[in-house]
Amino acid sequence: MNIESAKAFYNGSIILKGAVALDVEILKFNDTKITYHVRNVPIHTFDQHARARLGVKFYDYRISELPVYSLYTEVFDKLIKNEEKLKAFFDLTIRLEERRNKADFRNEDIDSYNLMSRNCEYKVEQEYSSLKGQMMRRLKLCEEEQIVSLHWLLRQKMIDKGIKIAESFLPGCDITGECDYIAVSDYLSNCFGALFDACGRWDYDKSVYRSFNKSCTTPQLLKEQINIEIPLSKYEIENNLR
Amino acid sequence: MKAEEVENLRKVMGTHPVDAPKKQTHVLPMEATTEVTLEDYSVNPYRAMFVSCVSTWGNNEFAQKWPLTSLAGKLEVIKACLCHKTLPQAKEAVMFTFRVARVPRLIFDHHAQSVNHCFFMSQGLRDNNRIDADILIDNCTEEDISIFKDLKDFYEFALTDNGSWQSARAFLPQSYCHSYHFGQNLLSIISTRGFHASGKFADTYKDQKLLLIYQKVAKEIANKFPLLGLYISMLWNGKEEIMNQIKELTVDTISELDKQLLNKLEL
Repeated sequence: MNIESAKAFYNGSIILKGAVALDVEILKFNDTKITYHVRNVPIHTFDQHARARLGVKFYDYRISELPVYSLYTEVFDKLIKNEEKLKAFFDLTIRLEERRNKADFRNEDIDSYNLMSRNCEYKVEQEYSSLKGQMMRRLKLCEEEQIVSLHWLLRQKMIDKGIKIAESFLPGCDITGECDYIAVSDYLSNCFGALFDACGRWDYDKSVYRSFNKSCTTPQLLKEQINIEIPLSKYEIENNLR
Repeated sequence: MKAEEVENLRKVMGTHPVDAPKKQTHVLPMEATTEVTLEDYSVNPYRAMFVSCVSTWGNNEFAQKWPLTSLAGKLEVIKACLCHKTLPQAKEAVMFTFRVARVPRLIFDHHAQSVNHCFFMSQGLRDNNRIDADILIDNCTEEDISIFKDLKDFYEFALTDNGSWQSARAFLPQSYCHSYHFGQNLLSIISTRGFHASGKFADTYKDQKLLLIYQKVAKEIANKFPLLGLYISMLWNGKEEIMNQIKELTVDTISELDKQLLNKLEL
């Protein structure tokens, strides 16, 4: 078994930490739309991303032929700290791969044996009007780390290419100036307690019950894994936070 | 919102702390487990189609035509609509909402990603502890059962030390048991595999499972609206054959349920 800080591999199987291997490449763009290629994201990230339906087309979706898995940071860290579990997981991926390779495409479909964390790649053609709405949601740190990383990285690459509109792409909470994950009292999820803690970009009610007492994604994680510094919110600047 | 209402909602949704699911991993074939139920629908789809179809005609007054038209006249308009002899939009006026319980996740994704003009709302893997998730595959082997149970142990491992349900999903296969609601209008349903049933479900695992869902959809619709159930069966039966059956229908041969709706004047 080979264990590095953000990667471990054994007998052909590879596990990666969070979004460290994420790649977004801009293929082409004009005044109204952009085409980009997303690589090294888990299947569940594609499933989330592909829920977008208006002004967007997903194509060339391919699941990795190799057993490569992008695990959430929390899970990756937990596994590499426990060598016995890590070895057991690698052994299981090998058994899973053997079974997957025997699957009959017509009668059982190899996808039945893909883990949701198996890597995939795909291309997206998207109008800016569609992307703007998507960015408002997916740049928010209350979303899961890989889809958030994907959108911050795409935003940065657009800015680097001189696509001016990308500079206006910000998390939706920046428009209202309040945390819309926890602070909005009538948000339905609050009937059940919030899932995660808020990210702290805006002030919020800290007394709300949270199932998991941590932010879903953090600025630190994005800095470490995709080397992007998230711009501070007005609230963070005024209160000298981060 | 009152505390007892929140308590009640949490119990119904299964998010109440005392209702944490028990660990289980049954490996089952989809056919034996999947359920489709009609949850909501247009009050009178025949009226909706009729008034849309005859919108073209009328004088300055533009009177309500449904109460003024004979039963046979209404049936002729509906038959023309279902035999694709009118503008197609009339079928967009007919809307259904379905509950689809217990399908492999990959079939939900195939449904959501390959069918247009409908909406999907599904169980959240971030919002629920799915330690109870069954696995839905055909031709299950002993090795399959062993692999999927071992994977569930890793799901449980991911939840230790306040690990989140979101993170634990890394260990669920795409064949885990998933449920959702979707809404689709009649034009979209009949165009699921090509406009006006011009295409057929492919001979692939995913498309054949999707066909199974649409056969259950048609059965649910037929229980309320037999003529529409027959029409939707065009998706897998011969198109011409079904159209001929529809063309031959008269006020004497249509079902009693359909006749009641064609005669119904109030909403």
